Amino acid sequence: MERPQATLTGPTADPLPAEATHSSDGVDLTLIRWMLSLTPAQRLDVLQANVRSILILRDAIPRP
Amino acid sequence: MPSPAPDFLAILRVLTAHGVDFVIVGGVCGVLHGAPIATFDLDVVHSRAPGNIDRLLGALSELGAHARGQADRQVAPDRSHLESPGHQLLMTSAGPLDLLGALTHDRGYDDLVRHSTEVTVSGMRLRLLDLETLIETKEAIARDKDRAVLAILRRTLEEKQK
Repeated sequence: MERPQATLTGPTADPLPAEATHSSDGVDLTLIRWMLSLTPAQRLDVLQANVRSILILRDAIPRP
Repeated sequence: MPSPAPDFLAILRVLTAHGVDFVIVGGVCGVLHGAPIATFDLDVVHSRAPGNIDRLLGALSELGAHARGQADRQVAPDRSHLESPGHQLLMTSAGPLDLLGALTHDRGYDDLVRHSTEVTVSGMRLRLLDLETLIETKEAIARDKDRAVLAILRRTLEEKQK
């Protein structure tokens, strides 16, 4: 008999861990867990990269 | 011309190279603790001991620091500014730097250093306000901008304690 193919949503897929993605007040816990997995130096790199990206995007908006 | 992005590491390198005693507070402190927040300036509380003010003046000179919001005038901070508990909002060659004589009226360097932790970043030993005290001071100040990040800081503390 042919076995059914496993898909992400199919019955043979492993269930994703039931860890909350957001707190009751709406904070994205996945981002916090990701940041906590980094070293302090890497966290500062993320901040620097974010600020650079935001400024690039802001500069791309035509000024009146 | 693209806007210059602040280089927090460059400012910290100069402060550290001059042997300045300071505690990082504010958004950069939150990020170093693991909070996913954004900030555009570096806030530090400096020791107002005379020797430290000397070292700080040297660091600020190297950074070309001057008061923000002075239009075309470039007013450099002097000793009297740095000896006060007030907040000096500066622009440097590496971006905005806020030097705080005290975080709130009675929380200067000597108090905050007892509520701080040390991390090593790019070979520099940096002193950060601990996350519990950062939350406590933001709760005490309770401006809208502090309230906006409080939920993230609290949840970061909870995740760290798991």
